Amino acid sequence: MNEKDLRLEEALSSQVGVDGNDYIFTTKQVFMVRVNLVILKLLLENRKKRGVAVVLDRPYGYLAHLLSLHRVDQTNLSYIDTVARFSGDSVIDNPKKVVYTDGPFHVELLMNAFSDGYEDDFKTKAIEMEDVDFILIDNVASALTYNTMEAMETCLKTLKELSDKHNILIVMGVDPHAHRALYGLLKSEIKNEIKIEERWLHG
Amino acid sequence: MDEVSEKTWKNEEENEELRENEMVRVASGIPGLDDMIEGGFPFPSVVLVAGSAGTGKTTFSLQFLFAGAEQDEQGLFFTTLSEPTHWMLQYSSNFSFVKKEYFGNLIQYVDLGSMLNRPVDEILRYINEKIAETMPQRIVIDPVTIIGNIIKDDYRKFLFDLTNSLKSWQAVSLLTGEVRPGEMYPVEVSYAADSVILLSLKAEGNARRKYLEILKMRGTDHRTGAYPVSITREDGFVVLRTRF
Ligand SMILES: Nc1ncnc2c1ncn2[C@@H]1O[C@H](COP(=O)(O)OP(=O)(O)O)[C@@H](O)[C@H]1O
Ligand SMILES: [Mg+2]
Repeated sequence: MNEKDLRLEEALSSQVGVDGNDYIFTTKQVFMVRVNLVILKLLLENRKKRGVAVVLDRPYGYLAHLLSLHRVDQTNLSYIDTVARFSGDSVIDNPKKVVYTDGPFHVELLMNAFSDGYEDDFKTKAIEMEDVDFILIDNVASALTYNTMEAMETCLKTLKELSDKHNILIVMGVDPHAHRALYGLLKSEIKNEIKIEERWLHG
Repeated sequence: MDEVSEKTWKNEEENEELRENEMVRVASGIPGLDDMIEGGFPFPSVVLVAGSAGTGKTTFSLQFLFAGAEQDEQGLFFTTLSEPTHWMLQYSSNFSFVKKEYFGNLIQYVDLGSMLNRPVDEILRYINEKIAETMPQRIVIDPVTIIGNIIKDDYRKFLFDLTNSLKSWQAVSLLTGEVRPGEMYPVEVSYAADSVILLSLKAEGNARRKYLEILKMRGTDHRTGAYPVSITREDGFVVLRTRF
């Protein structure tokens, strides 16, 4: 990771998880991947947390590969992958666990991937709640392509319940200009907002 | 960033939800072009910029990267020509849009030329590694068609895998394609790309004029027909708004 990213990490460090458990950050859609990487590094390495990355718009392998190339240790990271089962990709880069859910079309079923979820048949493969200090959602906006706002709301509410019950930090990014209604929904459900400032992204 | 109202989403009209599904777009950096394509290139997507030698492909691509760099977007330029960096710098440096200080940081330059005799998987892995390393929002492969001349049999599969991973990295990628005499555009690449922009030269009297035509752009209500373009030091690549 370069100096630019370390500066971004420093800026984020004073904001993520300092007041309660639920966070959205706002940035341009094009910077989402970079900010997510920096947040994962902050949580996994600096804070030694264990967590889950929910990957909504591409097979999890891309994020896993990104983390390993940037030498971020992901032995304490699990993935919930909504895409790869469709595209048939194989497991790489040795994360803790990878759980596949029923495609990107049912965002409301995401929670079944956790042992605390609703459906029994998922339980054995599910992510144990004790292994989860945080949940990061990689590109929540991409779920909009296949899901209604109502399904998104259901998903968020369940996520919030899970977070409250097990004291889990949740983080997700949104571009308020590109996805205004989604931003409105997130604002109504989630307490803390971190505005990624342009100068944090500067080289 | 200006403020976005916090009123709840439930009050929004239904068309708000429709708008919500619209694509994120990034400015092309080419004056005149964004108006023709609903504001910019869909993000993420893969764009083929095809044309014969001298139609402006490299200029177009560089301008696209510099426009991104101006907004803090990381650019990654793969050349397949095995050209030393300083040649490209030398040729491009008199364009006023070129800022030398971006080279080596916001615009990274990678030579693929020496890789091309390797197995296809290795080429792809190398490209993916460079992308993961630099995390670009804008990527150029100039020209991609050289790879086809070298790897032949695996080319289609290569292009399919390449464009899939380019999009998964969340970037807009421009692949330039050399058009050979008698060919309209590189067909194999056009299948794999989301968009195809054709650059051409037409003889008019003693002069040759340059043109740009959008052949396809996924999810975009784009202009059709060939538009004249100019390439100058001061303004770089510009689409002129009179249709011929
Ligand atoms: N540095 C420059 N200053 C002014 N015009 C240039 C410069 N470089 C290229 N051009 C013009 O742009 C044309 C296209 O160049 P280029 O982008 O290299 O085309 P291609 O990559 O399609 O072969 C050149 O033929 C020339 O007319
Ligand atoms: Mg060229």
